[in-house]
Amino acid sequence: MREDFLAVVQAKRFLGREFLTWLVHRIEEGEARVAHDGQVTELQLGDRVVLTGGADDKARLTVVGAGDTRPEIGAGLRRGKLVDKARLVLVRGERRWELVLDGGLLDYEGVRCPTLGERDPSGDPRAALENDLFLRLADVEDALGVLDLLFAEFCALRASAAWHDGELARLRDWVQRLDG
Amino acid sequence: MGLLSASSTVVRFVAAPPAPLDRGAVARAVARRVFRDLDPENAEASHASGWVGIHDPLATDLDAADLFFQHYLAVGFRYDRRVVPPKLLYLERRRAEAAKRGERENGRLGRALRKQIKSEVEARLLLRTLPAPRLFDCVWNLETGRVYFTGKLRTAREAFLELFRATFGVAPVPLIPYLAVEHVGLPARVVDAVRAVEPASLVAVRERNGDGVPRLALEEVGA
Repeated sequence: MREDFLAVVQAKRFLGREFLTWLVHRIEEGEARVAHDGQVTELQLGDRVVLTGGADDKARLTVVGAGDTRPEIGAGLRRGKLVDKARLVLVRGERRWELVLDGGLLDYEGVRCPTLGERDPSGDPRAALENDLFLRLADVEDALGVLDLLFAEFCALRASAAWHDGELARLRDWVQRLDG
Repeated sequence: MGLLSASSTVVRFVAAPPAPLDRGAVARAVARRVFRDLDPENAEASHASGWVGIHDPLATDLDAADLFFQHYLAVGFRYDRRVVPPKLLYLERRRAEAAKRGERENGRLGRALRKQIKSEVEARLLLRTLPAPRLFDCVWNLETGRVYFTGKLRTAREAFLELFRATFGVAPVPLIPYLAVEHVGLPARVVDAVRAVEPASLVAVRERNGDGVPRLALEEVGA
């Protein structure tokens, strides 16, 4: 890739980190239910959050634990960091996905999908692989589709007057309140 | 870890599928670039990569039936790399330098000679080092153009992107935030506006002005 392209990519990594921070805010405020394909998916925050600063603040802050991690997350955000990675849980009825979203790159690590559904009974290995592959891809595309919807919502908001007129203030207020 | 593993990594790209899609031609292009083992006699080649069957990483005799699953193209990617363990290189380099010193009257080695010794030792060890294989899955949704790759390792990903471009004639574009903006159904004006935004500070103004350290009111009096 060209140097100038890589420079833009690096300079705009904040966009994904702002998205992930906004998403964590929505989860914490109980506003992370997404209607998608006629079904509602609820997002929850998992047990791992990594915050990172900008170009002049390379120090990373990793918050791990199942307890109340809000004070640690708040301390990082108040030092000007953004959420870089977060383990997220997506729940739809009895179906559950887990993944670590890397906000800077929009990559997904540790993706755990619901248990594969009905297996192919034919005994044909090719048919079994195709069946399992379809089921798994449907689950992956399903979960990533929900996150794409949220990313699109964030982008539309970020580019609108509503960002500066209210959303940014709400985020700052939330950051202030994250002190335990 | 592959897509069917209990846990996997998913990195997304977008690549426009060829239109019209000639499945036979695509299969032949894949077959020309299947994985081949590193030449054990060639110290210059430190890595090898190529396509393997998604159903079996040892399968390299691939045809359309092995690759196409309705509107998906699914294929494995194998990346082998030989790396000399750094500690071993350090020890063997020291041994070689000591031997060379013993051959010289003044017992001294210049910078260039030490560099040459290191290079020779590394090449010699590389020939005796077994390659470490890494396996990844690549799935191309031929309806949406989305490409799913199950690895983040930078060197492997770069080799994958180059192989994908050479095989299918299209360079996959990574769905990083800046580029993903135009692939989530937003109008062009919103895409442009988002790409132009500057970082926002989530820290309230009063907090940014201070550092948490109590101050005497001297500044206010003087103002």
